[in-house]
Amino acid sequence: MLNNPFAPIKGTVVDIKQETKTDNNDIKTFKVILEDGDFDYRPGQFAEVSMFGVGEAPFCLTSSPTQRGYVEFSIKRAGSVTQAIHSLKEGDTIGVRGPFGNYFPIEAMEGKKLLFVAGGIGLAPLRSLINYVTDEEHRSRFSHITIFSAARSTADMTFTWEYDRWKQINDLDVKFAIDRPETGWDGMVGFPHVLLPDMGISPDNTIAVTCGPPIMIKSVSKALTDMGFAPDSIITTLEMRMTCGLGKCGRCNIGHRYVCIDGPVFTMAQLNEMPDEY
Amino acid sequence: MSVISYKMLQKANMADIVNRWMKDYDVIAPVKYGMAMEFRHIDDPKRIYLSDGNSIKTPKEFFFPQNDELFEVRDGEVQAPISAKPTILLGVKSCDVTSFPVMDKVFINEHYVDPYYKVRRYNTIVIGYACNKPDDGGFCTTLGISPAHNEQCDMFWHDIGDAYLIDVVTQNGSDLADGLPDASQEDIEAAYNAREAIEAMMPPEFDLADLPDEKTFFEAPFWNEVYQRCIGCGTCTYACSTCHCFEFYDERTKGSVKRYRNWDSCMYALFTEHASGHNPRPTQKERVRQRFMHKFCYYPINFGVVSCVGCGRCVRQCPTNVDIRRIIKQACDYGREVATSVE
Repeated sequence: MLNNPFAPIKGTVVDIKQETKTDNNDIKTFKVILEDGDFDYRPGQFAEVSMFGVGEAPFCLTSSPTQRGYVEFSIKRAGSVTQAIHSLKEGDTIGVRGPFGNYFPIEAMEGKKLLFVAGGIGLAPLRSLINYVTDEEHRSRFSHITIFSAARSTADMTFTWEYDRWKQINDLDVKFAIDRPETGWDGMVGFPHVLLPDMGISPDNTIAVTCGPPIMIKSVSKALTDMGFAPDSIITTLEMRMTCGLGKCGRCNIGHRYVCIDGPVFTMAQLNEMPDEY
Repeated sequence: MSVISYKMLQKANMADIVNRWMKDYDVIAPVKYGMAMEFRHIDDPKRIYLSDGNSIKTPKEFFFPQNDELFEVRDGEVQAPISAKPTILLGVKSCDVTSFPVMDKVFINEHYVDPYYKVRRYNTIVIGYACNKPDDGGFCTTLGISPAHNEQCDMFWHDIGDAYLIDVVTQNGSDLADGLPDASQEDIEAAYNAREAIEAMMPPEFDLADLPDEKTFFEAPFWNEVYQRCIGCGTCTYACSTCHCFEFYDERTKGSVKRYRNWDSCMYALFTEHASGHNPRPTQKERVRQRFMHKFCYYPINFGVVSCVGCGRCVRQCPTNVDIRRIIKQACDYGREVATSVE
C-alpha cells in the first residue's frame, strides 16, 4: 500500500457468518486477518477487496478499529466479485487495499446523544462506529445512544448476533422495524422515515447517523430535518461505484466532490450544497 | 516562458540528431499512416512526420496507456515492477503539451501518487512543436493556450521553412540541443511573427469567466437538449487529451492473474451503475453533463485549471457533431444571463 496504492495486501478469511436468512442468503460477514498488520483505519472508511482473477470492489469496514487484529466486511452478493467472495471458505485468501476515504467526525459527536438509523445492509458502515462508541474505552465520551435498524423482513436483518451484546450496553436502546407485518413480530412495521417522527426522539444535542439505499438516505434525512435536526447534525455515508479509491478513476464524484476521497461520510449540510446526483 | 537559448536545426539534419538521441533514449514521434498520423516509438528517424494538424490519438497514452498492466499475481504473490526508460516525446502540439501538467494534477497530487504514471512522466523529455495553421475544431487560444507557445516543455520547435527554430526551455532541452548552432535574430523573429499570425487567426470564442457556478451550471436548462444527439459511443473521451478515467480488468492465465487498468468513459451507463442496479447517472443527459462539468467546473474547483486544452479532437471525431465549443459557449451565455437577472 505504501508506495503503490494499486497493489493489494493479502488477507486470510478466518471466519464467515451468514447474516441474512432469506432464500438466497445474500449477505455474509467475513472476518479477515491481514498479512500487513499495519492497517490503521477509523470508523467510516472503506477498503477495496480483490478476488484475483475476478476483480475488485469497494466495501466499508464494518469492524471497528477497537476490534484489534482483524477487519470485517459484510458483503451482499450482487455482482461477479461479490459472488466470488461468497464462495470463499475459511482459510482462503483475498486482496485488500486501503483504508480509503474520510471517516465519521467522532470528536464532533463527543458529549452528544447519538441516533443511528440503518436500512438493510446500511447497518454495516454504522456498525463500525457503533462498536467504536460503545467500546469500554470510549462509551463515556458519548451520551444516550439509539440504534434503529430497519430491514425488509426478519430474514433480511443483519448482525442479529450483535443485538444481545448491544442491548447490554449502558444507556443504549435498540429498535427494529420491518417493512411488512410478520407472524410473531412484535416490533415496529413500516419504513424508517415514516416511523421516525413518532419514536419520541428529540433533536436536542443529538447527532443522527444514517445509511441505507440512496432513496432511504434521502427520505430519512428529510424526516430528520422535519423533526428539527440541523443539516450539520445529520451524517450519512454514501455508496458509489469506486474503482480506484484514490480520486483518479473518475466515476464516484457528486459535483466536484469525490466520494472516495472527500467522502464517503458527508453531513446533510454538505450534501445540500452538492448537486443531487447520488 | 523564459528561454535558455534559441537554436537552429536544418530539416536535413534532423535524422542525424535523433539518431544520436536514440542511443540514450526511446524516441516517440508522429508518423504518417494513410491519411492520418499517430505517435509511435521510432526506429527510423526518417519516418518522423512533423506537420500541421494533430494525431488522431493523443500522446497521453505514453504516460497513461489505454491498457496498462498494474501487477501480476503469481504463486500467490503480488508483483508490481514499476520502471520506465528515458524517453523523448517529440513533435507534441502546444495543446497536448499543456495537457500533461493538467493530467499531473490527478495522477501526482497530495492525496495519492500514481507510481506508474509518475515514473513515465518524470522520465520523459517533451519537445513541443508549433502549429502554423489552425486545426479544424481547435480552440486552444480560447483557453489561454497559444498554438505556438513553448510552455511546459523542454524544447519547442517552430517550422521556419528549411529549418526548425528551437526554443531551448530547460536544462534537459539544452543537453539535447548540444552542438546545434545558435539561431539568428531574423529567424527568431520569423518564428514569433508566425506565432502572432496564427493566434490572430484564432480569436477566443468565449470567456470562461462567464461560466455559472456549480449548482447553476448543473441545473441549467440547456442540458435537457445538448445530450440528445449523443449516442454514448465514448469517442470523445478516448480522443481527449485530458480524460483520465479508468476501470480495472483482471486477466487469468495458467498460474497467473494480471490486473490491467483500461481507459473507461463517463459516456457509458455502466460507468456509474451500482451493483444494486441503482445508477446516479441514469440517462445520457447526466453523462453528457458530467463530461462537460468535470472539465469546466469540477476540475477547476479541485485543481485550479480547466481540464480541456482545446485540441479539438472531440469536435473532429464525434460521429454526431456534438461540439464542446458550442456547449461551453451556451453555458457562458447562460451564466451571463443568470448573473444579469440577479443584478
